[in-house]
Amino acid sequence: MPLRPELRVAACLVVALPAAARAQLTITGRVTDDGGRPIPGAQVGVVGTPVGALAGDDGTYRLVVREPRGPTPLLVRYVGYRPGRATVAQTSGAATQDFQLVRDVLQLSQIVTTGTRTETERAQLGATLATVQGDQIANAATPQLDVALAGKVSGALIQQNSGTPGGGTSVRIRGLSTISRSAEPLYIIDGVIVDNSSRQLVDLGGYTTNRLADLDPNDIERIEVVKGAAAAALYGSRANDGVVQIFTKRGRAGALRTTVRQSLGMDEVERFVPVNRAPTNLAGQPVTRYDYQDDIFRTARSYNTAVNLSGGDERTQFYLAGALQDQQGVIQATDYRRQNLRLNLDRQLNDRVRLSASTSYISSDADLSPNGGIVAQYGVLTNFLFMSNDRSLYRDPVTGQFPLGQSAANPLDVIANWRAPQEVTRYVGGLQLQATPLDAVTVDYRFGYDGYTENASIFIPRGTTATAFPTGLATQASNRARLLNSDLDVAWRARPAAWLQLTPSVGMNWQQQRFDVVTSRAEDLALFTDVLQGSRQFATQGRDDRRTLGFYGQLQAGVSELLFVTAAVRSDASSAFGADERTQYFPKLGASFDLGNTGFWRDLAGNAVSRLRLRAAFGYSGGQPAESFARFSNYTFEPAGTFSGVANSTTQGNEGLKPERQRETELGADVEFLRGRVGVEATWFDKTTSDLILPRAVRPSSGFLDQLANVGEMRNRGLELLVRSVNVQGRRFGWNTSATLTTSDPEVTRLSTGGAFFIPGSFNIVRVATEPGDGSAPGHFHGTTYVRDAQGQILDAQGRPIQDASGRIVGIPAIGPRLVIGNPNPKRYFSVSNDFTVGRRLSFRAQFDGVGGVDVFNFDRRLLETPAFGSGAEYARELTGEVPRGYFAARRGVFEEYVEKGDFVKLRELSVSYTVDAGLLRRLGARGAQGATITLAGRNLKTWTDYTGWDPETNAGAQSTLVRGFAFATTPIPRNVTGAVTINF
Amino acid sequence: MRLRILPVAAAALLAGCALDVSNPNAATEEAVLTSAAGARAAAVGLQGRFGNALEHAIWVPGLIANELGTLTNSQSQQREFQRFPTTSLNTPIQTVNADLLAFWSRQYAVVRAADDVLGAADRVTLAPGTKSGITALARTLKAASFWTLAEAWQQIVLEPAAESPTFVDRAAALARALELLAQARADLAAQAPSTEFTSQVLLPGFDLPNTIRAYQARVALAAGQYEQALTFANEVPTTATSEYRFSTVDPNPVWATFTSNRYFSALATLRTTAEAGDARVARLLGTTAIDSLGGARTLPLLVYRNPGDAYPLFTQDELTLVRAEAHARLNRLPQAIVEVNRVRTAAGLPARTAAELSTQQAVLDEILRQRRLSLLLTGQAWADLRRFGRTAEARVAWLPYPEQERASNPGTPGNP
Repeated sequence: MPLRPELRVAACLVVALPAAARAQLTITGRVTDDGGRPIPGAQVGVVGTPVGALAGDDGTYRLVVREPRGPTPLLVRYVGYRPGRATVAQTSGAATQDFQLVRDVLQLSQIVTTGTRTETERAQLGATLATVQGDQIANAATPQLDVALAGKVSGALIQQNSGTPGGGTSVRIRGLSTISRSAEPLYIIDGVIVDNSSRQLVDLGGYTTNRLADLDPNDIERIEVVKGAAAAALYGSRANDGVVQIFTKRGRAGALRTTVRQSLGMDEVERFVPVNRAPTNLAGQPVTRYDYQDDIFRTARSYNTAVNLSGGDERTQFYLAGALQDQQGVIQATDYRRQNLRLNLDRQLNDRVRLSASTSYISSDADLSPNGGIVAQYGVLTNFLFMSNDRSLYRDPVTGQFPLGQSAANPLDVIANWRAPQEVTRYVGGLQLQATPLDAVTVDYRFGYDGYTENASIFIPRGTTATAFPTGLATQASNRARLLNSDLDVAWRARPAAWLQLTPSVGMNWQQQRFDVVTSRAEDLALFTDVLQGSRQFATQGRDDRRTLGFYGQLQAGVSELLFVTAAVRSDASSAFGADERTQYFPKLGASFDLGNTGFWRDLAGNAVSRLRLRAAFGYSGGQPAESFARFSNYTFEPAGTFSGVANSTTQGNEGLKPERQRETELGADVEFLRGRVGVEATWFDKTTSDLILPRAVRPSSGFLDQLANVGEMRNRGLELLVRSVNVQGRRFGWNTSATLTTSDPEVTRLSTGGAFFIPGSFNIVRVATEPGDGSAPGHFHGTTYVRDAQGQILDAQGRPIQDASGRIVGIPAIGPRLVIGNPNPKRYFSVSNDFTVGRRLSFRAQFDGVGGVDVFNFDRRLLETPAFGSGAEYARELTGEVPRGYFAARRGVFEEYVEKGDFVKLRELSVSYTVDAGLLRRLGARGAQGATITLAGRNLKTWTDYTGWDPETNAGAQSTLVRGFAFATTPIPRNVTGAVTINF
Repeated sequence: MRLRILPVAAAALLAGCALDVSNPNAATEEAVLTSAAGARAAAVGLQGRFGNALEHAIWVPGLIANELGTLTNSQSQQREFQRFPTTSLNTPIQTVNADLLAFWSRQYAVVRAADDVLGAADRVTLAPGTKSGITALARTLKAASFWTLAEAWQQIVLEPAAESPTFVDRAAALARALELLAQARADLAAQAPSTEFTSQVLLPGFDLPNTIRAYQARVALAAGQYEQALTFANEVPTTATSEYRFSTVDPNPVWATFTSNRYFSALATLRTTAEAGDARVARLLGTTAIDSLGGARTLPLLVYRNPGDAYPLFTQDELTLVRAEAHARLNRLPQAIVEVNRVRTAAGLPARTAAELSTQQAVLDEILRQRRLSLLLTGQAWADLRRFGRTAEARVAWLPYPEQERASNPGTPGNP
């Protein structure tokens, strides 16, 4: 399937001007690549005017220019090719102009807007900006957009934290740069700043959803990812973790185009953990052992139906799309359904003003099952771990009752009787007014609204095996979110001299985010109903309101198409900053030196190195405090006897609180070799985030204990490498490769007084400190260790090795001091994908993703071999006498034992697509069909890892900033096979 | 042209760009400290703070003075305050001990809340009787905190709001407490408390005038001002009671830590060293040991079984024993014996004769013995050991200063 053109630009090009019966020039021609193959969808436009056309399937285009005032300059664009330019000298009649476009393997000619606001070629930016095209996402065989991005953006580590449908995903761009804030990037969809928070409304364990899950990937036209402070300064105090701008598909003039896509998928867990099969228990009595994974996991099916219609006339274009997603989870009794409806409308109000509207309505609901996590000590997988597998959990056929679990509820009872329904209703709407009051001046106003209500509940009925809640427990929480943004940009494209292009621009941006969370709870539940009623009922409410006002000024300069410089400064004032630090400034400077555009370079390097671009960028960005009201010294509820009073919160306000401030330098080079067949994009970055917001101890005799303050600092340096190559490009066979590699090594360089601390809710394992080595890695693991001798032998309490000469374990290990035992921040992550085309109809794709230099804390294994539970195969060694009695009771106290290498390579995507042409469809009876594509795609089909648990990729801390790589009763990411048929009418 | 609306829209938007968003989830400093309703609510909150601060003020000195014992092995920070027969369990009190910090900081939270109330009372217009009531209350509870601190640390801070406050010694701290209590009395004498104060601010059961007198007696005794202590104690009618009535939302801290969390209980030695037939022992302590961590046997506590149980702010027994001690210290032994016998009789014990208590030391020893049982769970046992010259029996003479205070206040004295 050809890459889709940039429709937004295209839509601008098809404007009809008032009909005039004067001189007119008709230009026709054909757009091909250097091998003579047509490039359908290429955009041909008259420079400086809205006149344009799109190339058809055979690459031909037809363009009408009314009243040409001289020679007509033409520009052709298509993603993956350098733009083509030509000038037609004729001023009337019919002219022919063909174009042969040169490959642009690194897509440096692509027009982007994120980080600059004005449309700019990537080649002109001093900082790297990654782009992903919509069809790369649509074929990723996942209904979640962020999951689909995994491996497709260099510098971004995308981790699916749970295999539960709709479960959360973390995106880390160039590693971690905060401790107390969410580390997720800022998301913008069609100019609307959207919410991607992961609120744990009810305690479901490690799979809080992040709200990006509401998007339908079918609607995506393209995505731009801004990675560093140097590029993100225009997003000011919200840009420290990068910016992801998503553009959805838009209509274009012409006949109605309808696309229908139907897919069916199947999910299953790739591997089970081996269970204890010992025939006896610790007392030596014969027992029956079960593997309840067979009862907990299932092969899950999913389907997705998507229909979109687009079209319009020369003034008005529309894109209307609807999608239904219905997905079962691999854990019994969990599923997820989502309905999306989108309408994007564009209207040319007059020849200078264009109005665009994007509206999206989403409704989703899920049935989940409480499932462990770090805080919730209940749930299906949790209870599987916290019990011995020598007891029957099956429902008594006579009484219908489930037997009690060992130390928590019976997981089969949880599956059968507990309910955790979740619901989201969301509206995302954007309005954009683009005006060109003067030929070289553009005014762009955007208004965005993102409003949703999410509802989450857990219902544990009376009389289940949850002994902690014998009379039941019902919790329901709702979050009403409303986000607004309003942006105005004015830019002037000036060309004071032929060799100099200057684009000054100014703008403002207003944002407001409001949340209202109400949590209610009932205990001792009413009978025969599953609503929130009981003899004890409670509710609490919390509100959040944050406003940010920003201004920026920017100057872009281009000298002789050789040197490009961008300088900008942004000011941000936020209600979350203290009154004394209300306005913050974020400057940036970037330069790109593009040797590839000089004749000098072509003479020098010939074809061996066809393009060389050097770039450098430096800039600042910010990160707003996680708390909106930390600047206030608040007076909180303080009951006295039966009276209600107030007293000062022991957390003191800080009117000097300011955003975390990131300074980043990046240097890079983009090189194309072998006539543009191989391209390498290499970037080195060094970022320091200072003013990290952390609690600081306050003098206790003041009546306060702590205060949020800007006290810490962290640093991260790394390399990003992207290689794209066109290995074979023939008429019958094509083969392209794309590979990315990122290194990252974040370290905490300064903390507040008191130094090291443990992250709450991590069993005192996850720690932040500034010690050498992994001791400065944010969120490193810290715990008890083995006692070893000089040879590294593990010793017992008497100092004797626990292994004899033959390696047999004969002793009981001693528990050593608490030390740094692991680092969950991956040192490197990489992705390799290969695309093959065979003939005109068949294409294959394979993508491998990997992560290296990472540790996972396998808490699951610790529970599986804890003698009190002992469901794991490992524990059988003690029952069969292979290791001495008491070995595992001692070993479970050594946390070092459970830190495992979490390195993995996954076969992330494997797909084959076959394109059916209209003729065949007609013969098959599908009248009116223009074409169809049949795709069979697999996702996460195979994992190569030394990790012994379910999945090294998931995380019980969900989207937590610092609790990473924590394996505790988290649903593994299933492997998926999806078949899809797409028919175009 | 349509574009004209853009500057207008932009101007309208900017006008709406208010960046001063107040916290909808909690009261602001302004709302509380500059309104009459805020001042009254702060005075209620102050009492809540005082109730919370009782927790550490009771169990930390109790552990140090061999009145109480810890029950759980897991609470290693609490264990540091106790001396165990099993000596390997005895580890020094660390300056980073979170309970050491909590003991210190909760008292200063009371002082801060009291200063907030006093500041608000100056700033806002209150009914005269309400103003005198809340200022007297604030000064009383502030004085109580200074006394509590001065009985645990050699030097304390009296001006917590200062940028870098200086530490003063115990004598200055007790003098300041007495001064505050005298001011509180003066407040009430100048203007009788309003019904608004007594019915809406002061907790039911809290007899403020007599609590002030009782605290004056307590602090004067600690300061060695025996005649004054006697005078203050005599001013309290013998029928007066004053208590903090807790509730389920503001639970009794002794119930929370002893009964609910089961962190502590009374040491069995209280029973084994008591005289046979002592009614107080039968009322307070069970008979079967519940735990013996580190060789320290504990008995179940029979009081504070419910979260809403009231806690006495003073008892008549205490006042009687203050009188007894004041007389004894002034070497008026017959009067002292009369007072101590009141307590013995009330406890169902035979009166002591002058022959049995022939020396000042004998009288003082008897007074200490009675204080130990009558004042169980009031946090006074440690100060008593010090005042009666039996410091060696206590786990430590004085507490070290919390690390967090030292890190943020360069004037912090060296640890004992």
